[in-house]
Amino acid sequence: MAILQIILNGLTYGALLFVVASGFTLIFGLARVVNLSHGAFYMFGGYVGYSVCVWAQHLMQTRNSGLAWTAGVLAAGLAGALLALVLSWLLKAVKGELPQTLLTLGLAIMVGDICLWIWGGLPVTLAVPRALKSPVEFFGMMYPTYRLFIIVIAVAIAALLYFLLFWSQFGRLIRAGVDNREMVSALGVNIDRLFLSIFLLGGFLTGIAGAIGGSYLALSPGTGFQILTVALFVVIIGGLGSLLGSGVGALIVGLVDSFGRVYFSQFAIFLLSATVIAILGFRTQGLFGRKE
Amino acid sequence: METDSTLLAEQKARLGAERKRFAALLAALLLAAACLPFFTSIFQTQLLTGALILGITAMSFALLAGFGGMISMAQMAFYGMASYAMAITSKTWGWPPLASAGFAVACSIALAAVFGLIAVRAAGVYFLIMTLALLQIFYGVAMQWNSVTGGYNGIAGIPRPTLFGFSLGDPTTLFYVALATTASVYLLLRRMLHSPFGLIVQGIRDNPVRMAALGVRVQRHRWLTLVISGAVAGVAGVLGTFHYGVVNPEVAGLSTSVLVVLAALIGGVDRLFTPVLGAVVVSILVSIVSYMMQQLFGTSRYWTIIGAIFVIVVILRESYSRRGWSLRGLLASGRGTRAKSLAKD
Repeated sequence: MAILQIILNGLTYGALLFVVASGFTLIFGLARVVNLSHGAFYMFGGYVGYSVCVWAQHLMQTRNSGLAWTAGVLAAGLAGALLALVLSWLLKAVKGELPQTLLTLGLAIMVGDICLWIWGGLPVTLAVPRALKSPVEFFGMMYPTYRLFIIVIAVAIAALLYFLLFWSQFGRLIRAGVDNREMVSALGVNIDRLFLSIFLLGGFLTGIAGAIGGSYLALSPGTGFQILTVALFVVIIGGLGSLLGSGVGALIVGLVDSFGRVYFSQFAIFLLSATVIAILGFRTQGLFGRKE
Repeated sequence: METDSTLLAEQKARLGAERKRFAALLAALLLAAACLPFFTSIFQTQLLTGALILGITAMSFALLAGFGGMISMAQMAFYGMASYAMAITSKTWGWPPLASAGFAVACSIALAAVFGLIAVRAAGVYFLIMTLALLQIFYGVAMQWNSVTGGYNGIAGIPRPTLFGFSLGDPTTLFYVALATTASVYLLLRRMLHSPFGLIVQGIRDNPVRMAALGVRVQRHRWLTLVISGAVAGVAGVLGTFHYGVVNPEVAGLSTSVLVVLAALIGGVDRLFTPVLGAVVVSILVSIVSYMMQQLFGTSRYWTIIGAIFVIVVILRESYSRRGWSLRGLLASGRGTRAKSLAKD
């Protein structure tokens, strides 16, 4: 396999991982909750997106319609946001980082099982829009257009998040809230609403990632656990709560995974683990994490 | 001086009486448990054996969470390590049972020791994430390393050995083996927690900085606790291999780990023995819920209910411990005053 293709595979996978990990990072950054149901958010979003996409296609009597796919992606985002809303309600019942984290574990099990209940055990895939379906010539080789499109989406989301967090008043309040919740609240800001909006945004991004990822990696009952795994690898490498960290972490995990699959096939997981361990050996808090 | 010595004698007498009461209670409980197979069906005996195995794993979790102040999701990875080592050595390589059981526990210890070198540097939620990552790595390796682990299907038909003329394939025999193991593990851990080492471990849970100032090597003690807990989970893994006769990547799945944590939460992690009782409750609960879902809805999707129960238990536990009910601040590790927890166990 050409080295360029391996790199591109890694970049596209990394781009998807960035969208997944950014939702995780947003929720952790403000609420200090390690959302172990993150993979379940992704899976649920992807499945809802799939159903809506199929339904819209049926309605329009076409296959591979861009409109149906877009509807699916948006529905997936809403489904993710809905789960985030449920999670934020549940989290109000408990205090403290560790109990809250354990609670998300229970939610992950529930959502995973409900998905299996509704959509069954067979893998499903969203139908990619016709325009993105055919491969495109890229530096003298054929490459799926859709995968390149994922990179575009990820960059757009990164830019949007960057603007939102570092250039807007909303972002300033959030960053202030991360540093000192009580102070921001005392200044007359409704910190709970801020909190909720970040939760919804994080859930929305994760749901979208489910539909985008579900269009080229199939969705199956094991997806939730897999996505949680790679999302944790990304944030462990990049550092918890750092958006830049999740970007860099996603690229590292994507590329290592892509090279691992080609050169080590069934030992790819060892290579990924070795990378995680090597980085943790030097920096316990990850590349861009803050020392607690 | 006079009063001092009488006080000391009084205290000694009180401790002696307490010890006797404890021994009597434990003996009565063990005797009652030992009588159970005479009244239960084979299926119920097997359920109880499964509960004890889960209980040993939950004890290893409680040792870390309640006494060491480290919430670990990796217990099923240590369990699975022993299970796979047992399966591979006894089935594929044809080792004698005792040798492969010893080797299996050694494998768990080795995994915990190597992993602990990195993990003990993290605390709180960060430790939890690291242990979860280990669980996932283990799952991935078990899934992908087809030639050794059998991939998705795992390894089935693991031989159940005959020890001193008793076949472990017999459910009743295996129940007694599991019961004896649970009791020995409990007594050993209890002894350890009462030793200076155990006191240091609990001191680190309550105030790592102060312990470090007193000259204790904090990370080394946390590492040792993790290794011991890994060994205990490994023992459970060996028993589990005898019990189920199969091992597949699902041992390191999220849902099995949820059962371990649920057992420990229901029982409470501030004592060593209660997680075993919690495991019995959980095993019976799972059995009832799966049966009811089958009967009422004709489906085997009972994890939704288990997950819901888990969420409710976490919420209830939290609000009770906040109100200072007898279930002490179970998850507020490292904070609050919990120095008394030792005296009770």
